[in-house]
Amino acid sequence: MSHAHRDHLARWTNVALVLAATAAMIGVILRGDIGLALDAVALLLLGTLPALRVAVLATRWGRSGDRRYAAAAIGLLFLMSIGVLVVASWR
Amino acid sequence: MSDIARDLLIIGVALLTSTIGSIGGLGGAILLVPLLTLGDMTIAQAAPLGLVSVIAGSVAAGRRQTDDGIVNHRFGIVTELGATSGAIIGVLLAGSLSNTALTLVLAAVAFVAAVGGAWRRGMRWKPDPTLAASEVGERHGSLAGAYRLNGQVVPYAPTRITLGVVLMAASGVITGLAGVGGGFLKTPLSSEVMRLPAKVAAGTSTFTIGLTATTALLLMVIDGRVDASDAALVVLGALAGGTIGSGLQRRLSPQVVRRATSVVLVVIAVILVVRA
Repeated sequence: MSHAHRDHLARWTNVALVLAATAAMIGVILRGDIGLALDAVALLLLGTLPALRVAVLATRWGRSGDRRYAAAAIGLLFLMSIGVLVVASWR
Repeated sequence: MSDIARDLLIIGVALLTSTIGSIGGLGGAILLVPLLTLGDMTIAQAAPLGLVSVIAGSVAAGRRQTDDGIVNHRFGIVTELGATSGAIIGVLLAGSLSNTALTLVLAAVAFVAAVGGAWRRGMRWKPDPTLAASEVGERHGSLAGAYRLNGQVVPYAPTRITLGVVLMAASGVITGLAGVGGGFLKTPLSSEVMRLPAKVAAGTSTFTIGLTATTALLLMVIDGRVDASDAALVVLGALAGGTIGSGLQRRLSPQVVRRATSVVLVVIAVILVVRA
């Protein structure tokens, strides 16, 4: 991964982190329905970040011709989705 | 205890466990969950908060670790394919084996990994003075890479990938069966079996445990087991902890990271034996 790509990924993660931390902080202070909604926003932001990171990497690797690892990343996202569906329906 | 004191305690405990977890790529849940149950929480209530702390710590540490080039995303994704497959099988088989026996197996694995990490002397991969700072990062089309250490560039190329992925899948089955995160197995497997440098193993494990925790948390959200108010407190503590932990890891030598990881693994083994 090039330095520019690393910088881009780090900056992109940083923005999401600041948003999540702000939402969690205001949610904790406000409490009530608005606070709970902001807590949920913080969780949603953080919960989707790791999978989004893999999706961004898959796209980047696919575009740069690194198809084997792009396929591995897509395969992992697929496996995670299948895992959630199988386990959720199994229980 | 007042509400404010309780909230501050949750933030403080999440901060501490995420800091420790981010240094060695072990995640903090296995330390956070038992600590939360010392208060007014049951394991069922504390477990989702453990996952939230792992995700927040992983994302916070990942920001700096990605910038430093110590996360090998290709390696993480390939090994995670094995770990996730194993974890799905493990979750589906859950209940078929004695929890006590499983927990003791996990404790034994953590202890062996701790001894293995502490036993090894010196650095496996040496700095290459011919490499420029622009070489830091992972290689296109390969699992090899280079990372920055004390102003020098250290190249590395992991080995025994097939064996490592098989072992990751086996660790996934065990962690899925026991219902614990696998960070404390992934870091030693990456560094001792597949010969990734200790810092890269820790950084890459921090990235992959975030993925595992996301999948598990989604299942708990479906089950309605996540308390968003307590989770927000853990988010605040773990974001700070992940940032502090990755900052500390940057300053520590690989040997110190390896030894610190070994110490935490012994603590985890003791916690598991007590829980069993």
